[in-house]
Amino acid sequence: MLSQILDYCKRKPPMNMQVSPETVSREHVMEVMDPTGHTTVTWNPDSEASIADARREFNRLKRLGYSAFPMNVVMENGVVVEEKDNQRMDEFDPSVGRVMMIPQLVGG
Amino acid sequence: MPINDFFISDVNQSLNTSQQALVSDCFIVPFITTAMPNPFFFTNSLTTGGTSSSFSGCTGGNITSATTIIFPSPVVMNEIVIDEDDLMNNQEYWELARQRGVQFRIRTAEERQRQEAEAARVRVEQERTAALRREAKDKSLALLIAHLTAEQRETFTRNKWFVVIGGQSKKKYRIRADGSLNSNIDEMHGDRVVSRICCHCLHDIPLYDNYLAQKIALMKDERRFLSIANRHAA
Repeated sequence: MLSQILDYCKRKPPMNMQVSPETVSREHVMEVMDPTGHTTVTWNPDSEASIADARREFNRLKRLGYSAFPMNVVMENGVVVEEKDNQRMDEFDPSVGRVMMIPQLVGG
Repeated sequence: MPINDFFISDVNQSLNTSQQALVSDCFIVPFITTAMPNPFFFTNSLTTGGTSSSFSGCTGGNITSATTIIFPSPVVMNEIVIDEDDLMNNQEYWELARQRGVQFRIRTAEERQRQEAEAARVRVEQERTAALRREAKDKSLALLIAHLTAEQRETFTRNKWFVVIGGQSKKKYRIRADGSLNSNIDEMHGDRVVSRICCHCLHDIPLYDNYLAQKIALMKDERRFLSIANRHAA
């Protein structure tokens, strides 16, 4: 009986029912492009302290010349199927699920 | 012909009669200088002089001419005294040379070890930097692929480019992801390349992050992207 319960817990849910860790933990993500590839800043929209930290980091990156874009995409099996048009973010919006911070662009 | 007459006759040809009379009153003695290998010869000089009337062209003045005769003379050097206490015999000299050889080899070996250690340290640092750069590149590639549609993934995998639609103008832009950031964006009109656009992040950002930044900026902030970019002819 116990082994059956443990086996049930270890079984992964089907692919179409799999949820992302962000949805389970309600963590929103800000991906920052940098020389290491990218670093990820997360915040909990239900936590004021977490939002304040994320806002502070957002403002710091804006001062460095970064541009912020909300990534409102619809994905299916890990592949983007629809990209919804969004404008650039000039102010931090804690309700956005995923934000991409792009460094300053220069003409070549 | 005496050597004085030789020189006097040579000079007389360039002077008038009054000057010729003056020249005959003086000695013109040539001096011969040679490059003496022996540094111990010094020169002594003997000077004779005479006073005569003025040359033509000068008014009311007396001119004093002088003749200098230079001849070498030998000089006797002081005797060199050798202190025998400072001398070494052959055996001592050999021992000293041997010790110096040993010191040189030790110093050279220490120097070589130091250089090898430094080279090894530099090599380790370079490998570490290269590993970090590879890791960053792989991470950026994964991020780019995660933000491509199925069609973009296919063209990127097959041809190393993908097409993006401009967010405001709805124009087609082909981003060539073949390893270069130099004018890698083609503005398309159908299948024809109208112009090439160059705009990218700073060079310390990994390559595939640059391509993703170009894609996102074209889709979401096209006007600002084009205002920053440089446009070149196709």
